Amino acid sequence: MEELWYRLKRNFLHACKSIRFNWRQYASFFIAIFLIQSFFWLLLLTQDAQTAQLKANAEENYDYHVAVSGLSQDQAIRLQNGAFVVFTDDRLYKIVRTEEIPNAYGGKSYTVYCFITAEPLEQKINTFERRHIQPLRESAESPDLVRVDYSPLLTYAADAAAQRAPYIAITAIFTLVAALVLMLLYNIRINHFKFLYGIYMSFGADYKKLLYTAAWELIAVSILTLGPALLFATLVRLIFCLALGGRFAISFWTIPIVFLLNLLVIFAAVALPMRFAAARRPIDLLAAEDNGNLVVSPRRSFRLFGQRFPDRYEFASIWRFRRYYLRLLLSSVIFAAISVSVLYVGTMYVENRDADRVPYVIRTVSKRQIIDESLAESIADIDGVLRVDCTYNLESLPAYEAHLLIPTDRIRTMAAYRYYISSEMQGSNATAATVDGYRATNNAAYTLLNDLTIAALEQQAADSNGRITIEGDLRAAMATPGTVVVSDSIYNSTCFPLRPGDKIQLGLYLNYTRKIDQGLTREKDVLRQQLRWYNFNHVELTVGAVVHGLPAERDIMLALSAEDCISLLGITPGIKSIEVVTDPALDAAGQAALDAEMEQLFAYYNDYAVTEHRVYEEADLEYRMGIEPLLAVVSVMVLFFFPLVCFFSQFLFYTSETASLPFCSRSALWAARSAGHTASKGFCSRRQTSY
Amino acid sequence: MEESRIILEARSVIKQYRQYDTTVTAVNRACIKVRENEFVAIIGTSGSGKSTFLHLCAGMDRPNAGTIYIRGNEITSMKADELSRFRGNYMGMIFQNHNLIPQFTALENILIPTTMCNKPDFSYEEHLKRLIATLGLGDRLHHLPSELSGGQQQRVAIARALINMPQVVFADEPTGNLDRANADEVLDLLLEIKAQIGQTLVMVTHDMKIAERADRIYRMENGELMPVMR
Repeated sequence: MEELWYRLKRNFLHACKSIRFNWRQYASFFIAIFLIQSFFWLLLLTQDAQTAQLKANAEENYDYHVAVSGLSQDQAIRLQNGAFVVFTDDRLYKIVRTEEIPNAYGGKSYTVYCFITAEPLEQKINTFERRHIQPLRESAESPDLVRVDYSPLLTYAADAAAQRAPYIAITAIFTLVAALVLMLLYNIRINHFKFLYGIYMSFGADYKKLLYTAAWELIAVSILTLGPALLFATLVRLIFCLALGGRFAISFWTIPIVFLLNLLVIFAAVALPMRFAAARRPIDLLAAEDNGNLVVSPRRSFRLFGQRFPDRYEFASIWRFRRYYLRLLLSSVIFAAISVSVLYVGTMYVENRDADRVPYVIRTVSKRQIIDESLAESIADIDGVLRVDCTYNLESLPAYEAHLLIPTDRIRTMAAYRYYISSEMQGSNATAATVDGYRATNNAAYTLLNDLTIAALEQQAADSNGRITIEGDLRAAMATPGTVVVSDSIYNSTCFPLRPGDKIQLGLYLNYTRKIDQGLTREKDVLRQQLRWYNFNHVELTVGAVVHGLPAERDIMLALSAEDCISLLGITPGIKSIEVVTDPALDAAGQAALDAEMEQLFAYYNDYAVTEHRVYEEADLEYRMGIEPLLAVVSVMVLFFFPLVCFFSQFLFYTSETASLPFCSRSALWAARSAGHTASKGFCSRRQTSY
Repeated sequence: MEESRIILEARSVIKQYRQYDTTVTAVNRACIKVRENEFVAIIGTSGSGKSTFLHLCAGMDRPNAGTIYIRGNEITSMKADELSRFRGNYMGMIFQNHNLIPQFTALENILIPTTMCNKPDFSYEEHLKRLIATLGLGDRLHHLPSELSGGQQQRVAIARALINMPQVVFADEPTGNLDRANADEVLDLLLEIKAQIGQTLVMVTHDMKIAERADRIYRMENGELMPVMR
């Protein structure tokens, strides 16, 4: 241990000395590592703030760990009594409050809110369930009636962990970018100061030794910039907190994690350049060579420091530095692209955050398969509800072994869907006249065209800032048999530019001549075989209205009226689930009122499961975390890297060449690059001037 | 002398460079055998290929053809890392222009081989003291190279080459940048240490006066190595 400590100390002091003596050479590393560390700090401080905010929100808004609902009076009393056991060591929880809720049958159900008092919480919650909830379930008419909900007070740590995924992805990407930038810088350094590594290799340094030597220097820089970077990141975070109202927090583990990430970046950055350096012959590293190949413009490099450089040499340098120009162009494009991408991700993030808020999803439980339409209408009428998105007991076309025939002139050739020419429909009973001029697709999904759907579509179009438009009359389409409403986009691009009045054909399965291969996995192949071997009854449908720009992943919408569903598909349509889309501008009071109304409504509908998503709290949390301004800061930091690389190479060129002017630079500019030996003999001896 | 073993052997070593469209042969089928404790001088005019040959023998460069053995180990077939470690353990190199690292003090420069090559079971402290005393560097150890004279810098470079007690020392015109008095003094020191430790010394020089003090002399002419009869 003592030996290890001695070695660490010796290596660190050696590295510090090297840095102190050559601080100008390391200035760019200081800036780069400062930026890298600042970013890591910012990212981890944001995560810490998020956890702290989740905890604070939970403590502020919840006074219980577990809510046990759907209890009878006896069960509620039993649970209340369970809190008072004889031995204090066995006491697990205390009762916060008990609520009485009237149900649809004139009776009452009870919700008991419990606060777990025993520690550790994670372990005791299991004991609580085993000792107190399990017996309640066993005594209930149906175990499903007793519902247990955990409050964020119990789940905030798990929620915070779940929300770390995007941070981990961003950290991984940035680690890679940071390693590449540092590698670029270190490569420039090696190129300019290969003499140093040549000496090391002459006296026995192998790759491992060179790697550690280089890494130690950067570790020293890293240690020296750790504090300033933390200070900078803290300031930025505090500004975010003041502006957006979030919390500031730093956890114990953040410090070693940042340091470890730094180590990872450093080792990744020096490993490859050192591998190449170690594979070279020491004499090549020792021999003086012109390193102007890493400089965009010698003239600019010299003018940077108030020196003069003859213009005619600059012209000669254009061809000589052609590789560098190319690299420069590529680097600038890459850095700019990364920077713009980060900004774009920030915008996407905000759009996503401010997108439809669906705090409730309603599904059926028990034997009931269909949700009453009246329930959906009641929900739609509640204040603060923008619309209800209903999912019907209808699926996409492949589930019915059906397809759509779309006029050829209503198909975009570059669209992301699959279609086939009608001549492939060998097995179909469709006549040539029926299918001629059409192409087939099964990238469509049925939905019910009713008042709810129309209201939802109109609301969606109204809220979309013009991205979603409706062409045609939705209500007229609903009232006319054989008339449908369709959407035209898949994956945000228009695939089928249909217009109202267009005729499409719906291929409805009759029988088959040969079965489709069960081993097929590609939808394209399944459709091809379906068209060849299956017989269909083709029904002509009129497009009554088209919804342009409706978000869809795989299928366009094919909305049929209830009558058409029955007559064509033989299905009586019914609602399977409801997503309640609410007003994003709702404040806490509005949200509480909405919660109360929903609770009241569902007291009379016992057969439904209502899933609550804390979308408002999440959106508020995300806003407070300031992800968008954070990404903007990162974008600017990325932009800083590029001039840093340029400046570094300019600077090193200046420091290494200035004393040997004019002979060395002139030779370097006019003479072709040749073998190391010739260069070392023929040109100038740079090491005399550099060291 | 006859009974001592061969420490360096080069067989038909060729080194060529491409220069534009022509090929320059810097070393042409050079052969040499150097025995333990021997002092061999290689003389020749500038550009004759003597430094290149020395670099090849020290494993600092790779020949196009031929083989080189040090202590019976073929260094021409060694991988880069293996060769570096081998060089650190058994070879010392003295350069004409010192090649000291400017940010390190004289002492730190001397100790570079000990940190770069962890020679097993080797304690350098006593040897360091002896070297410092012999080379007269006692009062300059904590000075930077820029604070030392040319002669002092070369003494530091000699100490650095010898600190790991290498079996063979390659010196590339170690007195080339020094005046006569300094050159003689440095050579005296080098030979004194050689006698103390018992090393093999292969030196490239264009100074005949220095070469005459060697056990054997070789002349390099247009890349060809020939023994000089005395």
